[in-house]
Parts: sequence; structure tokens; C-alpha cells
Amino acid sequence: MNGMRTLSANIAVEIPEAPLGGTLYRVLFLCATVLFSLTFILNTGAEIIRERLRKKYGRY
Amino acid sequence: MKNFWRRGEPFVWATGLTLSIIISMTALLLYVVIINGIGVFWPQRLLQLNLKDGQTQLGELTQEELDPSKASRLQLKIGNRELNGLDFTWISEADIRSRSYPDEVYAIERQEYGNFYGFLKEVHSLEPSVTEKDGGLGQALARTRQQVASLLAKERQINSQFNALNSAIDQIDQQLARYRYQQVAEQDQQMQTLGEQKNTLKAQFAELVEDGQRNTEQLTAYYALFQSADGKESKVLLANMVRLYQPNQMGLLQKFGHYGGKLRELLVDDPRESNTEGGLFPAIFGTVTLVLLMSILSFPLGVIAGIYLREYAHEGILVKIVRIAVNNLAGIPSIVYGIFGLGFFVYGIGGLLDQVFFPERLPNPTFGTGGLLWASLTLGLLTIPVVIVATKEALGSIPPSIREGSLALGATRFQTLTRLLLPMASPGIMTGFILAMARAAGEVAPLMITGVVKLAPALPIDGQFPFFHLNRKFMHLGFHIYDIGFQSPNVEAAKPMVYVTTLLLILIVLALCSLAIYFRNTMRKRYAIADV
Repeated sequence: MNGMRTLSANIAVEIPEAPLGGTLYRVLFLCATVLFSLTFILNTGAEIIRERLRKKYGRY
Repeated sequence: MKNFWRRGEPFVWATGLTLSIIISMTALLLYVVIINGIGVFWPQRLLQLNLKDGQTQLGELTQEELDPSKASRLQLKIGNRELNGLDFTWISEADIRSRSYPDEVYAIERQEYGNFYGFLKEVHSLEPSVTEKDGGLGQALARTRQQVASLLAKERQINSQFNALNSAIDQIDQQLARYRYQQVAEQDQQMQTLGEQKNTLKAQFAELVEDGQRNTEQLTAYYALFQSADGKESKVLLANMVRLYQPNQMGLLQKFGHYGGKLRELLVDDPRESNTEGGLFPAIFGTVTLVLLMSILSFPLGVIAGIYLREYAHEGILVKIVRIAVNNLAGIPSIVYGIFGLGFFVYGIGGLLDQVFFPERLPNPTFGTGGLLWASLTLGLLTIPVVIVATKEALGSIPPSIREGSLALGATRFQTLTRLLLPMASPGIMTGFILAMARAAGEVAPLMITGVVKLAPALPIDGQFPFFHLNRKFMHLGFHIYDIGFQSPNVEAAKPMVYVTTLLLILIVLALCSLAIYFRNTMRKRYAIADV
């Protein structure tokens, strides 16, 4: 039951201190990209399943 | 037994149970916030504790811990920060000799150092000072406060003149900087006149500063001497008194009056004491402006995109990809939007705008830093998918017979769309709009990096040309909660304010949504599908 540090919290906490174009700034953008790709993959997977279900059971 | 399972009775029960759990969780949330938030402004009686070691403590009772295994103890808000250093203290029940509620005790809210609880000893003003022996201290204090009120009004007036002059000088400076950037010669006519104008303004400024200093000096002559419960004396300038009351003497009506006054202060005044006291007006204003601006920016885009996807686009691989993309947009964590807003809007577009339109001010950013416009654009992006999906569903739920009938009567597709389909779909579109608005009002993470600040020096809309200052930073209720709840130096004192702010945020979201729901219902009445 420890506190944890999620990717999004990491970005939120550190971005105010990151100067434009610096290393930290770019690392945080990398964090955002990773987060984006994770959700993108999950969402696309869910969407494909939805599409299949829709095909199987007609409209909606 | 087989029959029992086939009927599915337990599943019906399970669905009901789940629903009731959800409702009770919502109710619990509201209950906690309301219970903690609604009583904050109610004037508490001041409790005086005589301790066994001879000390006395005076303050508001804030918590009582009744622990049967250990000694029970109670928490007192003792205020008087300049004497005690701390606002709160814990006192063990075993140490208390007696409790009392002295009638003549005063509670004072001050501009700095928090509250003061104590007994009035002397009142000093330009008239001969009044001490305890003379009697009539209370009346003397009230009289003096009235005298101070006019001086304070003058101070406020001076301050507003001060700000006006400051911004005028700022504007001239910017104009000068622009001319210098365009390499207009220093001897040029325009430059000369601007310089002269600036000098006259500066002279006025110096005069005003002197005026202000004189006024402040005059104000220091008015003060009252108070004694705390343990006998220490403290001088309180009348100019620093925000509110003065005697909670142990107040009747119910007076308490209601006090409550109303505090509520008014909350809604229309600026915060003080690093946001833990005073009003929330800038934050309320910022939240509402943000949500409205976000709606204006995102709503048309979402609706138009939804119309195209539903009415004009042919079902194919491209539309499928777009649909997946829209659903993806709805599912991305909001902080990613924030990062995008920072990289694209703030540093990208904002930086470009600065280079094109305000090159003379660089390296100080004008649009190249977080601001209201960028924050609302980011939020708009976040809510567009919701609007798109709602528009699509609303258009899809209109029976095809209406479409066909309209086309059969000779209307074009566009006429059918604008005169029949859109009005009929408008309640459904509004539902999506409400959902989008509620989501936007509660979102804090993307705002933190695109323009919200703890304390904004000026509102984004004010009386100075060009009236809408969309590049300004702003305050937001959600961020305010985060800031005073977790970043405040005096967490214990900030706790009541956290609940009040939360309650206020809930109420504002509720008010905005009810407004939208009201519009939806009038639309629904006007274009009721059942009547067609």
C-alpha cells in the first residue's frame, strides 16, 4: 500500500521546472509519448473488439 | 433450483444493488464535502481552558479525540500567530482544570498573522486614547473603526490610481520599445512626445506615492491593544482588521449576518494570507471564463466534424480510422494533452506569434507562455471527442423516414440537414456538450502546465483596452484546491478552505450544467420528435 509514482504524475510534477529544449523537457515529452502509445494501443485494441462485436451482433 | 437460475432473479437483484452502491457513493461524497464545507464560516464560540499548570488557553474548538484506550485530547485553534508561532495546539483532557466561555472576548480577522483571540485593553486614535479604566471600550473601538474606514477607502482609491498609472506607463514603454526596434531615431517627433508623456506620468506617480505614504502613516496612529488569554499584549492596527466580532455574545441573527458577510467575501473578494483566507473571486472568474471560452472554441468544431462523419463521409477504411482516432482521443490521459498544449500551443504557436507581432518585447514572452487562451484550446481539444460522438449518435437516432421524406419533397441534402436534422438532433448534441463542459471544469492537470497560477495579479477580462487579455495567466478553483490543500505552508489552517473551495467548484459545475440542461429542455420542447 505504498504511494506510487505514475507516468502522468511524473510529468505533472516535473514539467514546471523543465526549461524549453533542455534534457528534462525532452525526457518528459518522451514520458508523454510512452503514455500516449500505451493508451493508444489499449484503445485501438478495444476499438477492434468493438468493431467485431458490432459486426457479429448487428448495429450497436 | 434450475428454475431459479433460469429466471435470473439474483441478477436483477445484483443490478439493483450495483446501482444503489453507486448512488450512495455519490451521496457520501456530497455529504462529506457539504458537512465539512458548510460550517466553516459559522462563528464558533471561543473556549477558554484553565490548565492545571496554571496556564490558560483560548480559542476555537476544532477537533475532539475521544480515545478510550489513551487519554482523550482536544485541538484548539488558538490563533495569535505572532505570539505563539502556531495556530493550533493539542491539549490533553487530563490537564484541564476548568472550561469557560468568557463573554467579552474578541475574535479578530487580520490581514496578516491570521486570527487573534483576546481581550480588548486600549484604543488609540487621534483623540485621547481610551483605556480599560475609562469604560466604553467597545463603543470607542467601533467609533475609531468608522474613522479608519474613510482612510482605508482613500488608500484603496490611491491603489487603483496607482495601478492605472502603472499600466499607462507600461504601455508607453512598450510603444517606445517598438519604435526602438523599428529603429526610429531618438530625436523623432513621436519619440519625443512619448518621452514627455512618460515624464508627466512619472511625476504624477511620485506624487501618488507620497500621498500613499502619508495615508499609511496616518493609519498607524489608529490601533488597539489586545491581551491574549495568557496575559501577553499585542498591538493590532485598525487598518489590518478585516473583521471584528465577539462570538460569545452573538445572537442567532448576528451569527447569520456574520455567515452572510463571510460568504459575500468568499464570492467577491481577493484571497489573502497565501490563499488560505479571504475570497475566491479570481478563481471563480477564471474557472467560468475558461469553461465558456473552451466551449466557444471546441463546440462548433466538434459538431461540424460529427456532421461530416455521420452525414457525408462514406463508410470506408478512412472513416474507420477516423472513428478509432476519435475514440482514442477521448481515452488519452489529460496530462498528455497538457504536454501537447505546452509544446504546440505555448512554445510553438505562442512563440511564433511573439516573433511575428511582439519582437520588441523578446526575450520576455507575451503569448509564448501559459495563458488563458492556450489553456482553453488545450481543454477544447480534450472535449472535442465527446462532442463528436454525441453529435453522431444524435443524428443517427433520427428515424430515416424523416430524411427520406424531406428529400422526396425536393429539399437538398443541405436544406434537410440545416432545417430538419440539426434542430431535431440539438437536444442530443447539447447532452454531449454538458458532458464535455463537466469534464473540462474538473480538469486540472493540463491547466497546471498551460497557464494556471496560484495568484494572478490581474483578471483576464478587465476595463483596460483591449478588455480581453487572453494571454494572461489565471486562477482556477480546481488548482486552488490542490494548491492550498497540498502546497500550503499552513495545512491545518487551510483545511476548511479546501472544503469550501471544493463545495464551490461542485456548485459552479452544477450551475453551468443546469444552464445547459435548461437550454436543452427548451430545445427539446421546440423540436420534439414525437410531434413530427
